[in-house]
Amino acid sequence: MTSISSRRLRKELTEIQTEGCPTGITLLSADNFETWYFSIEILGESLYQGEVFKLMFRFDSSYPISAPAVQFVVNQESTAPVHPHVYSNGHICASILGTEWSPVLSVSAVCVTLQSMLASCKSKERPVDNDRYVRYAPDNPKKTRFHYDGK
Amino acid sequence: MLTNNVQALLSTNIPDPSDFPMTDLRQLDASLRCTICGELYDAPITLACGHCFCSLCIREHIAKESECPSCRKSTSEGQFRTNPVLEAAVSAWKTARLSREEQDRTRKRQAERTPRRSQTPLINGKKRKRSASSVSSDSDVVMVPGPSNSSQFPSSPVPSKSKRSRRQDMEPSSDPQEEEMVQGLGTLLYYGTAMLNSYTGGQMINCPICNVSIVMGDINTHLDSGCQKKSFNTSGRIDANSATERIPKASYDLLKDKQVKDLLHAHSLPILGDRKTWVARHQRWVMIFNANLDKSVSNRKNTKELRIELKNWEDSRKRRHLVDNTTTHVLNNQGEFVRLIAEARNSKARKESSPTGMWQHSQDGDVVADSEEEDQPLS
Repeated sequence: MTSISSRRLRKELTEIQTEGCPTGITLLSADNFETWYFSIEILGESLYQGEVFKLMFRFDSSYPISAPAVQFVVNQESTAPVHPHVYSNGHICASILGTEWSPVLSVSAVCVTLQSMLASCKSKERPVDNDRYVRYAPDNPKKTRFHYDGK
Repeated sequence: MLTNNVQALLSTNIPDPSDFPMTDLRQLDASLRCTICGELYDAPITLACGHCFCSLCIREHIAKESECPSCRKSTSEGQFRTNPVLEAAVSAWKTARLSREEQDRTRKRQAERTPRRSQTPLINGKKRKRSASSVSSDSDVVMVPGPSNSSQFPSSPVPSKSKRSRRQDMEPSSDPQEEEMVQGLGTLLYYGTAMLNSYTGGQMINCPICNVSIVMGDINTHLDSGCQKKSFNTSGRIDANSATERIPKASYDLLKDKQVKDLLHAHSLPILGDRKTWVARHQRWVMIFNANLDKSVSNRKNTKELRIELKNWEDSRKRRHLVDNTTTHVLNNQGEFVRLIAEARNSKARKESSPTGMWQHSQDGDVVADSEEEDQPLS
């Protein structure tokens, strides 16, 4: 028996494999239906030209009813982009990953949204409360209740 | 259940739009799929905004968020409208998919057997398809007769009455529900008594006075009450086979343990586990039960199948926490455990030395908001 979440993820994976990812996004690994990694870069004119970031998706069994936990990977090889909505630990403050999540969205839809979030950035800076947040942040960004101010 | 073995799942055949190499059919297939689960619509429900989802999918979503997943217009269960026309279209497409698959398989087999003449059946197939699709009627496009099963598939539109038996014969074996049915044989023990109960006193008759469908054993109590009591009030059992009314929502927080148990008893559901489990079980049952009623009558499952579905759902929730071999599990995850212990120690030390109320994290959905923190935008 297979659950709805893994069936749905399997379909998304098939689609990625047959149709490919959106431009600028590459599937790095999807060895199971719990954690997937993508690389993401912003093509065209932007503050992040030439930078490549690594995204981590974590799914639980209630996907797609509940949102995946999405964050930038921060380790020796990769960092989080400097952006007013991205904390230095890789957590992302985007309503689409929290209250505005909808089950019709998909992994590639999230990637594209994050791409355009970075592409539209006007000034490279960390969120104002970065240090305070990072100090007490939980491992899973879904456990944080972000306050979306629509900026 | 989340499985770690992607390869195993990838090799199993889950029908998908990518089964079709040509874009037109792929789009047709995709357009008949629920955007939540990605399966062909099962009991399609249309919302006031016009968007359509499987009944179970939208019911699960609406328990969390009262808006349309596609356009975010606010919606509620009261707006749900069943869509029997789409349901029929999906049924027809499922049949067509199967006959196509069968056709492909025969074609492959023929190609293997006679490599030199491998082109011939292909050309035939193409010709047939083209001539069929030139006819505008849907059912003609759908009923491309395969060489081996042409007798089962009349090329003319089939009257809806025969649809049921055909569906049962031709339902794909990869259909999740059927898989569940087969695997659910073990449920007999678990739900054995419940099932027995609903079958022994279960014959339904119509009340001679109010004409309501009543379990035979309950007819006297019903008449004595002046046609007030419905069968489930007296016997405490509801039969999905004959039920037409959806189960109303319960506000579990207001109910005592005994009352929650009564709710489960009313549907002959097992009372295993703690209160949390009962509530989750009843909630899921209401969803499954009501979603089943959103199908057209001929497609509905019986109580037994629904119970098996509920059991499978519970099992899949349980299995996530199970570890087969604790020793190897500890060894394999030692690094992670060490990290977690260190993290816990750190955060404990931090908590003791830092002022409270700095950050509130939701645990299991219970969010404790600090009023001072709420006004501060985080980003």
